[in-house]
Amino acid sequence: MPFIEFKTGKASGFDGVNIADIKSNIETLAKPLSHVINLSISTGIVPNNVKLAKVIPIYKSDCHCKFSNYRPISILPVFSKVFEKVIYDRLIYFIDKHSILYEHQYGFRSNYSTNLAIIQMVNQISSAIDNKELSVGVFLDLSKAFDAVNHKILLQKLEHYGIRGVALKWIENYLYNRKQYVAFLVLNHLPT
Amino acid sequence: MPIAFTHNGNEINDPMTIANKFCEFFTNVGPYLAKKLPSSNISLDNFFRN
Repeated sequence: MPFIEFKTGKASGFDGVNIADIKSNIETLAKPLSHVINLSISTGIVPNNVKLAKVIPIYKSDCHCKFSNYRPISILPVFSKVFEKVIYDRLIYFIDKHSILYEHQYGFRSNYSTNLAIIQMVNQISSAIDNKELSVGVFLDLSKAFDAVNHKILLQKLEHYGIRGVALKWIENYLYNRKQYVAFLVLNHLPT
Repeated sequence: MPIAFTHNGNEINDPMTIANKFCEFFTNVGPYLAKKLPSSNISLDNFFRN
């Protein structure tokens, strides 16, 4: 089970269960949890309760009175993290084995870092200087990139790269029909 | 956090309405930005790596 790697002391999701609760009861939980996860993987169905996020507005800047001046922090139930970790390990194994990711993808990958991205850029600039060429850098940032991802295109891409059948169904099920509620002050607004 | 929010010129004080508006805002911000992206006639296949 992947629990050991999780950090304790993090906020809990809608169910109020935190990692410490699970760690201290792992012997009781391991068997039923494995059963549910195995069932999820074999059917491609993700339980609704792991798709329910508690969202906390975090103030950014300017007026406190505008909704757009807050960023959402989504907190998923800890059980959701276990499901994600199990799937992630399988997915990244497949992706690495078939070298699917772009070689200069430095973010969100283990053993890669922004330092590597800098080294690569410095190398390119150095060789441009050696070749008496000019270097031009174009830097861009996408607003709300994660929120703006088109899930239909994402699923088509995954299918193209070989994630098919039940595995693809699982990811589709994971992405769709998600629910969230905003926890504001002490008031919890339950999903409609 | 403050008690009063302004939204479309209206003042909102009710915590439940504030939570609802937050939920609505956070849910729609991504799709709203995505909608503003220009559409493309280039087939998805052109973006795949072989």
